[in-house]
Amino acid sequence: MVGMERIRNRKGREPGAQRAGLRPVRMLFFLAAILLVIFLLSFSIGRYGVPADQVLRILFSRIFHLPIAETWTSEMETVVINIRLPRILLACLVGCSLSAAGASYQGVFQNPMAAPDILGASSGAAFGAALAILFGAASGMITLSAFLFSMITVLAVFLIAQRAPGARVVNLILAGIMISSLFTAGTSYIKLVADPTNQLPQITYWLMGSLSGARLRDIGFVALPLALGLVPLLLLRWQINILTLGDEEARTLGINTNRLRLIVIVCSTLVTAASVSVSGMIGWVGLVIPHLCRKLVGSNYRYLMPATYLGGAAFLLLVDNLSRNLLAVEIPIGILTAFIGAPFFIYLICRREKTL
Amino acid sequence: MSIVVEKLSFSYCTRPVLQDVSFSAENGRLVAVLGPNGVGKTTLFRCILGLQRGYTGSIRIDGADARQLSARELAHRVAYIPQIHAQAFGFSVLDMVLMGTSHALSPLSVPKQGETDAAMAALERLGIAKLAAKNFNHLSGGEQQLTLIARALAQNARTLLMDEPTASLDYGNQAHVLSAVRALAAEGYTVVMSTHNPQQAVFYADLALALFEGSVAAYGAPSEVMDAALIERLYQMRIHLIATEQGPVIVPAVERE
Repeated sequence: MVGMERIRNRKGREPGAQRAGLRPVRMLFFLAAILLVIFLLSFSIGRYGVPADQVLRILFSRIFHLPIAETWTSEMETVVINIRLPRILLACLVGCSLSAAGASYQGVFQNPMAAPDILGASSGAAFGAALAILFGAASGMITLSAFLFSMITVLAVFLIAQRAPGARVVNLILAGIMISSLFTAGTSYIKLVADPTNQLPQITYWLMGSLSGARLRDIGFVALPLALGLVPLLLLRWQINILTLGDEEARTLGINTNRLRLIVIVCSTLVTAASVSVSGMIGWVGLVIPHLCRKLVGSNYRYLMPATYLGGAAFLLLVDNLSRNLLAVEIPIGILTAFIGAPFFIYLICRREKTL
Repeated sequence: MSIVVEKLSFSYCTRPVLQDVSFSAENGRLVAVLGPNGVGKTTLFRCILGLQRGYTGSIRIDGADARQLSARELAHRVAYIPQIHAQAFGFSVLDMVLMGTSHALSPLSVPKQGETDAAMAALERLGIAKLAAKNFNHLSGGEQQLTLIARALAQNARTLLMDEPTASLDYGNQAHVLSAVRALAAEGYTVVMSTHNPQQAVFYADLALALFEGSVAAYGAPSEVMDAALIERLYQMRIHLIATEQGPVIVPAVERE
């Protein structure tokens, strides 16, 4: 009771129940504003600088077909429209997907430490891509293969967890670790037998994760699976709250937990696989962003889900800007997210008892 | 009759857990389910809640066979109030209570003003409306238990199943929660509550259902069935009953050197 009094005094007033939804909504607008600013700045920043006003003129002229006098050079237009626009869009989509998948997995497994990697989705995708590169497949086939193996991995993990006796949540995480290590071993073997002059560098670079070389075609390829995953997750966000209470409690509240859990896992895996298949292995986003968003909007998925969409997009776009501007040579984005994510994870482990 | 259980039997593998358990309760009755650890109280609840299939006998809730009801239809009729336990994520008290309204929502929608009003009314009913914006995980045990009861009220079911609502509560909070439960029964809710404390059955319940080795050892008004012989048999200990104005007080026979 003493602690409660202190909290009340510090905040000065007791927020009314009707106003409880106000702060999260304001935070969502705040996140959207941040995303918009980073989005627009990303066009200007780079080896070939383009002034912000020219960026706006080019975008309005080319995308909305407004009659604007051409004050920019054709190089500027090429950089903004052909090089930066696809990359920026892809960074937003991948960041949004990975963090949304992380938040969903955390809800389904009632475990704030869960992440897209937990079901082996990433390592399955990596194996699929490496296999396709080994067989000299074209880039479209690499993407498809990554996607298929990612789905296979998650399906295998899910089936093993269902068949094994004991606590299902723990089983699922353990099965994820097992299958992941199996596919990682498979990937290592492929690297061993791959042609060291052209295939091995390609596989290695892909595994590091990068958004460079993004084309509008890539976005077209992943747009459908991303929409198929992200839209249902957003619509089901209230129901995900109830899954976090645990299986039996959720069922007594009238939820068909088996069906709901399956839908959420399939959607999350779909977006993970689709984004990994176009950008390679970009880790940690699914763990870091949902945690930061919980700090901003609270645990209610009603607000948390849209917050992770916006926050994930803004975060990955920001990191991608670092990756292409920090050094003269581009740093693969997967390395940067690991440098940010791993310390963050340690910080979470050390202080998690007090939070949430 | 709001809940009728007839000849309910359940075996876990080959080990019988419940054998021919029958009881019924009308609206407004508070049934206390008693018995030693492992006697099958939890299994009984799980059968009623549709979490445990494969039982024989029948469970009828508001006249409908519980076997035939979907999770959603069951949630309209029975609300479950679990023991308090740590949550993975710290929801606000209002959000916790709002989750009780989910069975009435379309799966793709979120609670609206009407649900929020119902949740606030449930919180007010239990005198904890001022906690609405607090983090559930930061509440005291008694406040958490009251929040879970409020969630059951927001669920709008007439039968409440409570799994040891006073477990892990201090003495004052036990009395506070039980008074709230008693008041709900007086309002017309049918309450089935398991308890480890036979004294609670004597003081608060309309009906006592004593289970022993999976079967019904006694069933009826506490004043009639709760005698020293029954309690000594259930808990394998010696007790004294001391008559008071509120009913008999159960005192363990303490042997001192």
